[in-house]
Amino acid sequence: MTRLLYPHQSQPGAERLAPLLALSLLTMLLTGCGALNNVVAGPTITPAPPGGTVLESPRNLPDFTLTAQTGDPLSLSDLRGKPVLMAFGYTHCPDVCPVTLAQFNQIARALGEDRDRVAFVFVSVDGQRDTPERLAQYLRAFNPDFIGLTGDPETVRLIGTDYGVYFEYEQVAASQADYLVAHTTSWFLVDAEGRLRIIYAYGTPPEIVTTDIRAMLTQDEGAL
Amino acid sequence: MPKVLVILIVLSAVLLVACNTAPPASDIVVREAWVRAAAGVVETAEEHSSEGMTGMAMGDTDATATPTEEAAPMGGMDMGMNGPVSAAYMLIENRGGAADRLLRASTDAAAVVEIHETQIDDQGVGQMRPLAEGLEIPANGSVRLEPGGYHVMLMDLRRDLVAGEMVRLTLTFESGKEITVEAEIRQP
Repeated sequence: MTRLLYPHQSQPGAERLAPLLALSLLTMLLTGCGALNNVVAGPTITPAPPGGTVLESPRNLPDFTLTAQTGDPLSLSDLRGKPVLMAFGYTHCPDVCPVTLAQFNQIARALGEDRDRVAFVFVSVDGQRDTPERLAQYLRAFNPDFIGLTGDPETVRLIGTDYGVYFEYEQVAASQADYLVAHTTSWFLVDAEGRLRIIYAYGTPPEIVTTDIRAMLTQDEGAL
Repeated sequence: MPKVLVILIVLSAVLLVACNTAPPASDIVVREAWVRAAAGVVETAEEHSSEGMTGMAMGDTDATATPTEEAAPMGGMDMGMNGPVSAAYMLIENRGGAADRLLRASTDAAAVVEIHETQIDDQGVGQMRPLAEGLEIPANGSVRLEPGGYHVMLMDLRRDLVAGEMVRLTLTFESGKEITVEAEIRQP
């Protein structure tokens, strides 16, 4: 268009070009205005898969010991005899971790009387900030019966490899947070013998997990 | 000069003016705002300093705590990021014909407020991304801030957020519009 705008002043045929010019200008403007209404954007929400991934053969998990929110050491083997629903996270996590714990709470409530036959465990991947006291305070807001475990990040990293858990500290320029932690958001269902059985994607409906835990409890009863 | 030509030029000029000086405006409405309950705020001397002499008169500040206006924010930078965090969620509707952008938010309940997006990759690794350019609210569209997606992150909380109480949030948009909402504190 810019090529046409200037020549018309010097060329004799400009008067005949002008209506065309005005018309195309008009078209351009109309198109331009219309385009504003076509902006499409929205949140990116990944739909969670319906169920958990059942491991073909249960995976024996090496025992580990971390510090519980009480300040006392706690080992995975201490929980033997109970199915364990486990997630990894950190208390400075404002979004994913509270949702996970809120959903664990829904599962606990749905289990009713069987609730005490299951251990709910939240393992901190941010041992530097997550002291036992802080973890206790954080979990109290959800369910004081939940078990919080924390420890040296390198120890937790090693433990995490048995679950396929990954985490990384990130200093983000656009954020005033000291650092953010990218971490695996999946949930892990460990059976009463300490074997990893089912992995759930973050956001799996709590009812599905409840059903699986109930089935596991029933199986355990049959084994007795 | 033919009249048609003049009319056409005038018409396009009018349209040009219409398009440039009176563009479709955004019309933002914020609904269903809520904030996640959070506890664990440690009362520090800094908190008391903002309350003037009241805190001191109560006699519950450290003997050394006579922070100046200058000293307190620095203490906040060091200590503050260890404070609890929370998040605010809401539905932002744009009933206008022009896109707008949520640039920032503020509240008296938190020292630092940022607009973040949670992203979870196909390996299940989740991370938060600050939206440095803000969050676009499309024309005649809406964006829902919800757990697992966009959220207004509240860092270094100044007080415990007790379920049932309210938090006042002020949202600033690119269009210059400021909207203040009362968000209910919930323990989901």
